[in-house]
Amino acid sequence: MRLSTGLRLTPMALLLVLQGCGGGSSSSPTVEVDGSSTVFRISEAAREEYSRLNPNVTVVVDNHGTGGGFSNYLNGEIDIVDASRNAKPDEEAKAKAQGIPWSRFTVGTDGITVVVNPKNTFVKSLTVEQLKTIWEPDSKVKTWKDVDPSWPAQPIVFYSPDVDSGTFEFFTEAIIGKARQQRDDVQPSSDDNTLVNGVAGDPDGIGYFGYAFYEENANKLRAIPIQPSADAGAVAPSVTTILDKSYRPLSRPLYIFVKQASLRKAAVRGFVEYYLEHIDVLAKKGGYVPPTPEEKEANQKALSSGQAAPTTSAKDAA
Amino acid sequence: MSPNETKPFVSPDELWSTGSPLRSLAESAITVGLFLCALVTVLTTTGIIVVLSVESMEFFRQSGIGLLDFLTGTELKPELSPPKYGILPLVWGTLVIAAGSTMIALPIGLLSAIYLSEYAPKRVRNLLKPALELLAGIPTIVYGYLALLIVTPMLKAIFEPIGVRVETFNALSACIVVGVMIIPLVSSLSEDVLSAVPRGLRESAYGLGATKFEVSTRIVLPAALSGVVASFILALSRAIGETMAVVLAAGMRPRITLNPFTSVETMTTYIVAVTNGEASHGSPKYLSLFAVGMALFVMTLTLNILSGLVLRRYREVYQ
Amino acid sequence: MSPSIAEPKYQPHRMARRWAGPLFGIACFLATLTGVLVLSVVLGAVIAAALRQPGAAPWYHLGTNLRELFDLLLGLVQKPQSSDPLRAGFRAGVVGSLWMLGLVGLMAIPVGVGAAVYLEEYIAPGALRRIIQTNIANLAGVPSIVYGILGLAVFVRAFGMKEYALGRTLIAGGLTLSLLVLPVIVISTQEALRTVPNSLRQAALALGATRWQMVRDHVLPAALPGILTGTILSLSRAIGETAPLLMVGAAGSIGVLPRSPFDRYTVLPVEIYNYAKNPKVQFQTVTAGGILILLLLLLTMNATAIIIRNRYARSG
Repeated sequence: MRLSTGLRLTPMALLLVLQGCGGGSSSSPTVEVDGSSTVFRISEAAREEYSRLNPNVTVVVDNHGTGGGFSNYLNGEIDIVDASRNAKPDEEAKAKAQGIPWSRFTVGTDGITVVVNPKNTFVKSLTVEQLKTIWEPDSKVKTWKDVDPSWPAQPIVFYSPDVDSGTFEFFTEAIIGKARQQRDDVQPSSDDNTLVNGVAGDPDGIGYFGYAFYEENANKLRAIPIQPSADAGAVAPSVTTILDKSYRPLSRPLYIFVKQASLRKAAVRGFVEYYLEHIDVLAKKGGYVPPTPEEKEANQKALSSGQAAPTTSAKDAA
Repeated sequence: MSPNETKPFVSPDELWSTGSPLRSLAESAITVGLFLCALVTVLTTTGIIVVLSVESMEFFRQSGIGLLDFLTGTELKPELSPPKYGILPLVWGTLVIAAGSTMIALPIGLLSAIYLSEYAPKRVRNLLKPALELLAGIPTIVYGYLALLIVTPMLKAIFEPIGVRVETFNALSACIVVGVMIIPLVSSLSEDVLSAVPRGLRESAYGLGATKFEVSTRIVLPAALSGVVASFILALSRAIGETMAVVLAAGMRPRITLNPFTSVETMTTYIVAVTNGEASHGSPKYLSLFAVGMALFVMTLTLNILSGLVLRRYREVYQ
Repeated sequence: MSPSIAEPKYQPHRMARRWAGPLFGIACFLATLTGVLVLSVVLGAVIAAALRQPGAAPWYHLGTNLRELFDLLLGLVQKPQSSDPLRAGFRAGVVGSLWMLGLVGLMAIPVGVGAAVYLEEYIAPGALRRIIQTNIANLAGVPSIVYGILGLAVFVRAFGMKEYALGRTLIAGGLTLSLLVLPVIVISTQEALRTVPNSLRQAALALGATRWQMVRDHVLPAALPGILTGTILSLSRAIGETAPLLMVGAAGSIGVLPRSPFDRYTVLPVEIYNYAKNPKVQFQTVTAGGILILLLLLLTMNATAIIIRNRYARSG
């Protein structure tokens, strides 16, 4: 095979030419979405349905994590951030400083479900205090008996999302009180399906992940009702209890942050309007509970006024 | 009189071109073009070093961690205050996975290469060699799931009856799947080099009464040694740099341990975890991944320089 | 005193030598078989996962299963991404991966072969050459995600210079992957070039060929099988990479197909990874189907290269 000079130099010439014309983009209007892999599933459903009705608009959804989403937003690369947590104060300050403020919309609620293996029949419910002693750093709990003397003395096997996951951050903040502080001897995984398989295959296992993962595998797992405080009853996670906020404190709201400047563009506005209008169906498709009527009203207010919604986390006590 | 004596300096390309100016121009142009290709690799390294150093220095500045603490610290807990960024557990994890996987891949790869080039009939070789190359193309995430869904249960079934606890995420699974993944690097490249050893060499050995085993191991293999070792180094490099399979198989617990049945974290899995995680970009935790990347780069560079120095003495050239 | 001929090292040891051969041969065969065995296990597991439907035919009904598998894969290739497992497929990923293969092949192979030729045939052996070679060997071990970081900084963002930035486009991903596989191509091509006997080079030169003519017409064709092996291994690696492409902009979810190298895109491994993380159990079938499509793509590509390799293989 003769690799003639021409054949060999052409690719290099091509390379140089291609490098020269940078920054080109497709001609159809584009909506760029990025952020949490949790909210990704809702945004993806929105993309799919919206694109079917408006094939000339290109919607692209990425899932680089909430932190990654905010960072790309601050770099001016995206229009919408999917977030499984509120924006941090420094992120919001940077956005304002750069002149790209956002509007926040609630797109659903996720109930973090604590599960054990179905063979575990003795754990009837857990209080927040018990959860804290089980999961806190330097915890003294090694066996089930350490939690409740009436339980067997089997060693517990802990399955948890990895330290960089939003689920992990929320759980630790809600249960232990300090974000990202958890005991060391857990089996971490970035893939929730792996945690499902872990607990489903281990009679001594305990783990936690989003409600959708429990719902899909309800035949292999047992969800533990959580007792939020001494005077309240234990509440099991379900669509109803997450919706009416009785499943506490492990319900977390899911947000999208939309650049206000982008809302003035027809493509983005159309997409966001469709998203919010059909949020019931879309949230369910993503495996989450839709926002409450009050939250939806707040969404509409934010949409019409174009104001930045309050973003300090103190206001989001469940 | 030859051209060398009349002109004070003649470039090699002019020498080859027998005096035609157009040909010598073309030759020079090609030389420059090829040099640019080689330059791309140098530029890549420069780019990597620049990107990593800039952010690493920002990391050390923001976090206040000393270089010595970073390199020799045994605790990796960015969540504590003050955070601890000792990377020794990560280095250990990387070494464990690299050593374990090469212990599996190098013998199997080399023996397969010898089988394919010396023993196998042509039809079998033409079938098996591509089959092994297919192993190189299986996506790394598939290997990760393979470890979780097949290898670890197998290990549990073998070892738990004798009382050894096998965790869901363990280093041995990762070593096995990474080892399998790099077998084709060793087998295919070594097989090419082994087949290229001139036939005359083998036949003279047979003529002197050597057996096939002796010919393969004492004649052919030493002749092809440089290529075989190059494939070893390529495989080892791949093992050190492998990310996704190890993430899924070995879990993410940075610790220094000799127990292969427990979870470890390598430098690469740490980088992936921080990249995809929820840490806000620009925070010390996020910047630490660049510092770890830099450390990894320096580590592999040292290894390569050392191996280069050692190997220079062992190349045999025939004809 | 000369050593006696009865000393152990001069004995013929015929028995031991007679048995060492076949034993060694069996060991080698078993080693090869291990690799093939693992491949079969992986393929078997993936195919089983792809066909796992309630009411599916048992595994020994090969005809039904093969047909069902074929229908499944054909369907998956045509369907776009969806959050509904019944409507989900890999259309965008397949097209993106094909684009990526083309771009990487077009860019990495010539540059890699060119660099190897320069290092083997042109540059004088010495310190400069050793430095470049050590550098390339080191690059082979850099984790793929670091290439992703590099690609993000240089190609996607151009260090902040927006006029030169390529954005999250196919070409940026292609350049990143090309850099990733470049060291493998260079090293394997160099080894292939080293196997070409010097007598071939000297014969060409003696007949009056210029250096480039010698390389192009004599050395490269002789080294072609090894070069193709390196190509196969590197493109196989490129097609299966997830992490670096996620960093440089392969979309998590996209509905349109790329029409030029400057469009947004996604690739098969990224789609597979996203489907695998979905809680819905039916997505596991989809995921397994995607893996099979990827392997088939790989097989076709490898087969083409192998056919070319066999045509030029040395017979002696």
